[in-house]
Amino acid sequence: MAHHEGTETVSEHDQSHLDIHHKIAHEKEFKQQIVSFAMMIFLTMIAFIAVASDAISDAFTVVFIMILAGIQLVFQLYMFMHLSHKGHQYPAWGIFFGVFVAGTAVIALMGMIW
Amino acid sequence: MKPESMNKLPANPERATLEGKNKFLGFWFFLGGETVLFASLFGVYLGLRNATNGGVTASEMFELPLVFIATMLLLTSSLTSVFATMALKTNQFKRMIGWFVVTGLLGLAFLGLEIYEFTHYVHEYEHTIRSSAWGSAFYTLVGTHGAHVFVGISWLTLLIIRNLKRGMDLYTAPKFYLFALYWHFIDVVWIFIFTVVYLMGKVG
Repeated sequence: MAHHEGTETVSEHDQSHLDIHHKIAHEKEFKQQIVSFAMMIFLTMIAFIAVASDAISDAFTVVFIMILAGIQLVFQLYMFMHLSHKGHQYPAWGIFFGVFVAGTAVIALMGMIW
Repeated sequence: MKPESMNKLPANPERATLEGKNKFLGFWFFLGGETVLFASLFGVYLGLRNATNGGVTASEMFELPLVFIATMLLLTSSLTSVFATMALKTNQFKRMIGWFVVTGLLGLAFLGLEIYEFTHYVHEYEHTIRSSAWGSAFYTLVGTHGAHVFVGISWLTLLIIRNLKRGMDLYTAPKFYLFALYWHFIDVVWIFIFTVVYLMGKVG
């Protein structure tokens, strides 16, 4: 964002304009976070219900709850940890390289022990 | 520090200085490494989850209500640390500390529940870290996560005590921001623990 270093040089009118701009962006983010949280609670409940009920087959349940966990991962990273914000290109590389190695390690270990 | 620049922080105070930028980037890379650490434990757990050595099995031992409550506690603490981060970005120091205290208390409640859970397993089912390969994998994976929660609470306590009088500035903002990142990461790991260990354990 361009107004980082210019904070002290902007006029009072511009500053108040920036403040309002920040406030609107902030309120929008607040709503998004609340919606994300509600979605995560909802996904968690669905996962527990899917396991507790006998309505769906075991094999499908495992795939289903893994997908739900994956969606929650995206919510955490992009909403709660702000990975969607500007200036997160290198952090994204770092964490996704970790996730890639992690996926490989899980598959390799499972395969080796089985 | 000039008092004026203190009550007018930039939009992203955690990344406004070179030190803050370095910490921010370094911490994300550290989390990438932590992901691999937990992946190795998850992989081992998935390989050994049926190696019960004739003892109690996962579907006999786990109780979903307890795990559900623990999950809700940690998920809510993730939200309260989001509130703390938002207070950080709008330069409301006291509000930020307030939300972080709530986060820490929820983390403590989670930890208490986990300690109860482990003692319950040991006494009711004689399921210990030595009873089977599955027992070793279970306590190592879930215990490592619990240790991370403990470290997080300790870190947060020290951060608050040390910086309470210092207030919000470009020096303290990165410290608190990184703690929030760490706490979300702990929650991400827990999402996979309740899915892979507990829910998949119940399915069998």
